[in-house]
Amino acid sequence: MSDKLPTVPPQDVRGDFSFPEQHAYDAGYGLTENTIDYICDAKGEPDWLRNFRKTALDKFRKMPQPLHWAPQEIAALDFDKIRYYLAQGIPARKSWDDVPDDVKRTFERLGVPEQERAFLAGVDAQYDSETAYKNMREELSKKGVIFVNPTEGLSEFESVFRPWFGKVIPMGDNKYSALNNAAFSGGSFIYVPKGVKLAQPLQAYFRINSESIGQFERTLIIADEGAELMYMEGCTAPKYDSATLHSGVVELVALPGAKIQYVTVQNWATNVYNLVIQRGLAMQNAEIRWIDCNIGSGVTMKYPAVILQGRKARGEVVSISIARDGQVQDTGARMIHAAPETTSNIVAKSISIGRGRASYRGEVRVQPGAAGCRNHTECDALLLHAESRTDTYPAISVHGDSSGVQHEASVSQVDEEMLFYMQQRGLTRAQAMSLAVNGFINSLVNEFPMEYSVELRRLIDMEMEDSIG
Amino acid sequence: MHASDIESVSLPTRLNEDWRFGQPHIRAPQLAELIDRARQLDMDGSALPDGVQLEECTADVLPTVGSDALMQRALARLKRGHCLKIADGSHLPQPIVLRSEAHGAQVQYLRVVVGAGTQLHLIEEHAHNENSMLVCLRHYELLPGATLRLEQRENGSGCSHTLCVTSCSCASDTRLCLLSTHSDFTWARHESTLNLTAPRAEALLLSANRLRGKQCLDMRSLQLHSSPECKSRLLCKNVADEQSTAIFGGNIRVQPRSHNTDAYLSNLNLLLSPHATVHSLPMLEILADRVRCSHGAASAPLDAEQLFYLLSRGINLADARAILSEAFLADVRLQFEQF
Repeated sequence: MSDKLPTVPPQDVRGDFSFPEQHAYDAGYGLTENTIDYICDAKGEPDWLRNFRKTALDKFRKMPQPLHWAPQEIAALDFDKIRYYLAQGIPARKSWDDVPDDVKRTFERLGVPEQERAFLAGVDAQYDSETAYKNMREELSKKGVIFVNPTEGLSEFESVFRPWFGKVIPMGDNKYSALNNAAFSGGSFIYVPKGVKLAQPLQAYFRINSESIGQFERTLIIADEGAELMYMEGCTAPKYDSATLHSGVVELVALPGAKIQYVTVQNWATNVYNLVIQRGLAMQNAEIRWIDCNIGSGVTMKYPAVILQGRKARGEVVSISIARDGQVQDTGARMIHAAPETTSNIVAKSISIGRGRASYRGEVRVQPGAAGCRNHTECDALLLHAESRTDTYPAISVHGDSSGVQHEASVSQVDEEMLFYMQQRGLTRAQAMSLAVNGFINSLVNEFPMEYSVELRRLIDMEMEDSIG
Repeated sequence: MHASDIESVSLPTRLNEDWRFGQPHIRAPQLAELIDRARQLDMDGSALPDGVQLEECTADVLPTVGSDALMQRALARLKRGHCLKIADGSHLPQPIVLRSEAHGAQVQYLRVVVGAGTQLHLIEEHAHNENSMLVCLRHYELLPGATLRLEQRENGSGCSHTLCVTSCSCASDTRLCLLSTHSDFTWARHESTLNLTAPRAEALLLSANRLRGKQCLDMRSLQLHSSPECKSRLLCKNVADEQSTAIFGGNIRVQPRSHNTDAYLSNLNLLLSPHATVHSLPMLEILADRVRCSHGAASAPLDAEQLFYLLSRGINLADARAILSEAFLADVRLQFEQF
């Protein structure tokens, strides 16, 4: 891994800039059968996919918002005021030189090409609804690695991807999975063949440029037997007055002995509703790790899950969330132990600043017949102000007398004595607070690739300066 | 209460998070039907010591943890409630014991007012006859400086069902210790709401239960910190054997400006059978800073090393399991004794 750090200047960290819209395709506001026909025609999709999308739309309309448990802020989301497909009508480029200027400038300001040169095996850069740039190192193609967008995946590699498409997260799983199945566009379909271990990560970068857009990316990663890969995704958007929706579906399939590590650093603008469903299926001896960081968005609902389907499968979720003034970070994890001797671990840390609300919502379930399973869950919350709020809503179900599940959670604040000590040594209160907060999440930040962890620490420094300094 | 008012409050459904895992779509209509034909269960206050009075009172609405509709229906069946008043500054060396026996479908309401500076040990025992259903509505009010040690024993008998709604309101400098136990019933739901309304109130909520057969115990609690500088502890231990199910849902809610709160919640479950099930929902809702709040939940089988130790000393497997599960629950009783 390179020691070169991303050169994103601090003022660009939020990605709060935009360029004028130049879309060849615009499906307009609201989601109807006509919108789906428009998307299918624009993408040249087969009939089965058109019917699939329309069935999903029907399910989406019938399902209510999950207001009986979800943060009430989602009630304000008006699905009819979202634009469901915006694209420039040109295929994804493999060279930066061919990418349209405004798109190129966007990703250059976010440091994407430099990161690719420095430490990535492949990059997918999505701009609004479609992929603008996608490239993968040649030697990986020769090994049989497939890294394409969903349209290509379901047409050119149908036999590889279609058997698993929508199998980990069924279309009727919940309202948002139905919505994504109806309107999905962009994202990554990845296949890593048997025994192939990627030394460098693959990365996707999701960028929203236009106002009132819904971005519905779809990711399906299949790691064949004994394969290993790390996948990273980053997200930014400019801030608009109207609501923007990001509703992705990410399905991971780790076949026997495979390992998948999925890293997300989400830094959407605060007008974005970030409603993402992430779920992995781990077969015998396979391992899935979700490493998740949520800093941005107005409302986030994201609970990465692992279904431990094969004996001795392992799942892990490492989660950091920071809720600033007005933000709701409703994050968590789910571990479903469906096979014997499966193990899982969840570590979640959250920080609430100002009137921010950070919630941990989790589920750990040991199914009947799944003997000898183990889970450990730990969630810690830090409150920085009197108006800050934190919640913990875990649900633990254990069947049978041979599995052990432990859960612990705590809420605390930065120790005044610690701050006093640091201030006495010449640090400002903001610097002292920043050091204390970084210390709180330090063990988890180290789980992120270095480039991301450096960025994360810098973001926390900025937050502390804004809110305390 | 008018019938139209009762109908306006809908019964809990699957969308009611306070009934999660509790099968509200099956349990609630069955219970509502039984409540609608229930009779009032009276209490006998003839053997009470001096300074303690059992009077009739109006049965007021209580806070519940998800069962408002069922409570409203139960109130509609009551002509009156009972109020146990303990005068200010009383010191009662012996515990007060209130026993009642439920036959068929019955409803009971009791309000207990513990006077300022009073120390009281109260034991409430319900014996449930075969095929009985009892709804107990309880409100305990601790006036400033009062101390209450309270035991609630629900002794079922074969096919018996119970819904117990307990509400505790603690003023400043009060101390409350509540121990609830449930045995030999088919289905029991216990909802307790603790409201610490003034500074320096302290509460310890304990529960220990052993479940067998197809028993189902559904415990829900809310520790509401409405004032700064209060302390609450909750410990719920269950041993689930055979095909039994233990559900625990507990929430610590710290209201805005309730600084210097110290709260803890713990749910520990021992699973003794491959067919036993436990569900645990320990929750925190913290709306103030400068607090110390945490919770823990663990569900596990018997410790193999402890079992081996007892077997190696010549104790047979059944006895060894019984000893270890008793020891697991004994600590709860000990905490109550030491309060």
